[in-house]
Amino acid sequence: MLSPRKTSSSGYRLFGLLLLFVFLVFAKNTSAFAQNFPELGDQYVVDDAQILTSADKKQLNSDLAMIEAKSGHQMVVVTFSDLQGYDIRDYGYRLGRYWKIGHAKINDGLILLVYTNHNQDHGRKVSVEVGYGLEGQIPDALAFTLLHQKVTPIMKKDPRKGIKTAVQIFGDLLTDPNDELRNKSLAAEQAYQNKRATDPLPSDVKPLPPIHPLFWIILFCGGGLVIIAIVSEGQYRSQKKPQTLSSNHGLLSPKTRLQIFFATLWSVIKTIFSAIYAVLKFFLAVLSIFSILSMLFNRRGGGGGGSSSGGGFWGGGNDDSGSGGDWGGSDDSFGGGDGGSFGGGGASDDY
Amino acid sequence: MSLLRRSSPFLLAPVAIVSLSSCGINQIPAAEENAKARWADVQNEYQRRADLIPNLVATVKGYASHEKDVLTAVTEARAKATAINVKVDNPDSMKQFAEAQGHLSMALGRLMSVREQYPQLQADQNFLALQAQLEGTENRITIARRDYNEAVQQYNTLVRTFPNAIGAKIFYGAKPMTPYEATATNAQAAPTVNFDAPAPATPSNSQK
Repeated sequence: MLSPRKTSSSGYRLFGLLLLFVFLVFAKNTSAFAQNFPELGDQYVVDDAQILTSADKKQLNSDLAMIEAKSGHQMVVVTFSDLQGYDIRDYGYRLGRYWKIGHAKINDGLILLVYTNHNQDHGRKVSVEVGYGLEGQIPDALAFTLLHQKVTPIMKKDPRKGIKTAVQIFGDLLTDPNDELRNKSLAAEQAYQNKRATDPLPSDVKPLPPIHPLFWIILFCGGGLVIIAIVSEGQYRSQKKPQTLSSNHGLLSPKTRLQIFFATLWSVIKTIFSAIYAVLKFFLAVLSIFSILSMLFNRRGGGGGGSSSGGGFWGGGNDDSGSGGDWGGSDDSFGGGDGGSFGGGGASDDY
Repeated sequence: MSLLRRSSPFLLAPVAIVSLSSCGINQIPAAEENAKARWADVQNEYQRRADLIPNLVATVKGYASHEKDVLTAVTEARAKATAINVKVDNPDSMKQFAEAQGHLSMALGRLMSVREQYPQLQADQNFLALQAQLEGTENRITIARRDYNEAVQQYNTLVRTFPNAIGAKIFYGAKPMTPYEATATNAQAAPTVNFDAPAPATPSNSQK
């Protein structure tokens, strides 16, 4: 009876090590998005550079909401005064992916970015970032021509007016009646709204970052085993007395009956545990064989190194996890990005 | 007790399934396919750029016909770059491809720098549109390449770190994939001016 206890305690130590290992892996993976992006909230307009007045913003919000209601395509406007060292196009696509503008799998988002630095007169830029799905409808050349000929001349004189013009021009493109994507996009929006309506989570709670399934497996197996260990240790100690008592048939006090029940439970648990432990030992053996083999063949050790990986590939799947402000039927608040992605479509121009 | 011992194989089965699934049985092929799809994107974008070039060259020729060196260099670099049959599991061909595309980027950079001397060219709407398309394509190439490298990194990390490394070796014999490295000098900053770059296609100064 002593030996299984010995192995089991070393088993816990092993689990502890595994748990630590897994935590270390996650610590590396969760810090994927280090870049600072402004938060979108439930608005279509983010005005970090403070070009627009609040009346402008209200107007733009309702215009953009109308565009979305009509065409299903999401368009947002961002102004900012700090590019954080990125090129405007580079920043734009990252921002689009971060906000998930547009619908998942259709990728019909559009972002109008306006960069201005109040301290200097040059280097001001305006850019349109077009989601994958809209690239056919708004090719780069068209985006550039429109920006260059119609938007930047106005932008130069009056950025406020320029932004409004740009929203109008690109809004007209998005609400074009010959748009083939419209029905798909509207259906996706409907589905998204339905999902949100039945979603028990409040809308401003972001979903948890995806976690490697192994974490849960180890948490459940390991955590469960620790509890089992604590319970069974106690039972094992209190077992000695009741065993002598239970050999005495006849009258069993409720207390003894309980103790017998626990003793049986313990043996069941012990069997399950030893099975798990056997499997684990098998994998450990395989692992050690492989590590020895890899040492023998002098394989290059040490994984990728360098920067951390680019976000949740494991588990969750970031397609449908978009969440944002509350929609709630009101006309000019934003339903949030719905998983759209960006691949570098669009154009930029100086103004 | 003996009954339990006899039934322990049945208890083992679910445990084994759980442990196997945590060894990357599904994750490894999924990550590999993801990386391959991202590689296809990279190739698509490069193809898109190659498709743009004939039009661009023709347009520039209309205004700057005596810049023959630059024009031939672009045409030749394009021919070389499109001739390479690249395979994602062959690091050598990847390197060749990256080099050829890097040279093409450089030749294109020189072509685009020529425009400064031709105000008429810069005013041409057709040229402006092509320039916007080219810039958009370069942008897409950068993004596609970055996405591919991220996918490769995820795959390689998966294949080389503890629990999945076991499954990767036992079931798939998985090898790490090659990230795309821009080998040619300054291939990252494609459309910028770079006069002192070693141009590969200049020896053949065959004036047409």
